[in-house]
Amino acid sequence: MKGFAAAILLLAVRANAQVPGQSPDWPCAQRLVETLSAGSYWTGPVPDHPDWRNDQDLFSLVSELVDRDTPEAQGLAKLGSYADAVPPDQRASRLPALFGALVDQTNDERTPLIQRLEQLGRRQRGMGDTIAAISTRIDAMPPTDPHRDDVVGERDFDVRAFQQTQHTMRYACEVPPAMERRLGVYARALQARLAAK
Amino acid sequence: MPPALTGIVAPSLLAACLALVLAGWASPALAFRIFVSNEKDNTITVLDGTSLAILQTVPVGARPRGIVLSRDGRSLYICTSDADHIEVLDLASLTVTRTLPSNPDPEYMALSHDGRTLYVANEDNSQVSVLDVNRGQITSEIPVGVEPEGMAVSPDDRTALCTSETTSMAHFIDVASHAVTASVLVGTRPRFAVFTKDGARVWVSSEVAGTVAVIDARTHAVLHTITFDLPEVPKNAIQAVGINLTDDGRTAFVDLGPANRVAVIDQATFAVKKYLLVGQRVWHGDFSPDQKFLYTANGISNDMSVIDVDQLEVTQSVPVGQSPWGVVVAP
Repeated sequence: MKGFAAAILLLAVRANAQVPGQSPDWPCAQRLVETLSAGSYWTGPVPDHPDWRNDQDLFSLVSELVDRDTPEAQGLAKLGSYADAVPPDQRASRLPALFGALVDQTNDERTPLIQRLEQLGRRQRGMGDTIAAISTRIDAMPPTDPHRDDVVGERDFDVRAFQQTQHTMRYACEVPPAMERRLGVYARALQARLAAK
Repeated sequence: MPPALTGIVAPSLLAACLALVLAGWASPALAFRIFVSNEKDNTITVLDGTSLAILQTVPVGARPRGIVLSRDGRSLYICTSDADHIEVLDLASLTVTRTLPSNPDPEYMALSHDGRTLYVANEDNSQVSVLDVNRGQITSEIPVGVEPEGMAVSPDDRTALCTSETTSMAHFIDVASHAVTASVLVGTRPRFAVFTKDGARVWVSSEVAGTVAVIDARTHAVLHTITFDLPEVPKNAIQAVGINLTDDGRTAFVDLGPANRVAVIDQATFAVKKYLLVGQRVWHGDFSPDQKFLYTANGISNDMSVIDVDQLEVTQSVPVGQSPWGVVVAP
């Protein structure tokens, strides 16, 4: 059990390892890019239309396209239908504007997710410290101590909770990159339509 | 040969010779493959260099990242990070035939030019492992700065270089004595290093700083620090990672991670000539044997971008595996 706890502590230490310039609470392997920008995906100018959410049709479309429950193929089809319905002389302005709205909406959904992941990361760091402290207590207890089994049981419970959260985080960490990937797919689809005009 | 027979045979012989000559011309162009490591689905994608069709997807150990071609072109060394070792993929049979030892979580390595030694950075114990490829044994460990990451070897095999993430330094190591002969301060979180073909300079990328330091390999002076100006991209998304230098000494390509750009740089003046929009989170790349094309692995869009080196244009995106990390071209 001692080696097992040590392995868990190593995980905790790794969770604590701070990447320079990045929040120590960020628990994922990928470096965090807090806010996505249109320029990372787009070659030309993207007009800033902060009031796009007031256009109910556009808001509805963009929300559906960014929604993680919308399959990518379905999103692409909807995006294509919208783009094809835009009069050719308006595409150069409206398609980049649509992409700008997609970036805004993705950030709106991605930012709270990142905050939740950081909360989890913070909790794991605390849990790692707790497990380390309990392990130190156990090491200092004589084997005959009548409370030793209780303390070991407490430590094992925390270790299991730590492991379960680590397991959950592995999947949760995949969500921000998946949202970035979806945005890239839409960017390429829109730019291909602009290039084909 | 009777004249009548000559008239019959000669054209067919001529055609056969012509076919042979054409086949001879065509085969070198066909005779290279592209290997891409996919860190999430634990595979190597093998593509035909000419058609870019996927020839095979080879399962390997957990989390393949850094890949290096053996000097004889017959094997691919693969850092299988979560398997905690290095695998050797036989490129004839496309099967893993050997496993080489490493410390935990190997990410990247550099191969000596004589093909005998792999230098592997070990983040966990702040050492560089010297791995004898033929014997399959770690022969020594060289203590370096905290969290070593990038590795390179000079063309004369006398100097190894590793970058240290935490101390933001490039450490020059004398291969014969294992002594660290110089530690050069570069931008925050240096990730990758490469010597110029003549060995005179080393280019070192820094991920957090988003810069590339060009170091004089003899004096260890930083000759220039290249910065990247992309006003439309958040500064923290400009993360310099992989570097590819053309053998003619003219052009450098720097992969800028989540900026989704490859920067094109004049090797002589260090001026950034162009930014190329590629797939998402571009990590590393490799040239075709004639250096007319550069192929990059894009970690989030799960594709490989093809860059025309003369035209400086992205010509194609080729889907590969999940989370592609490294690219190696095998002639």
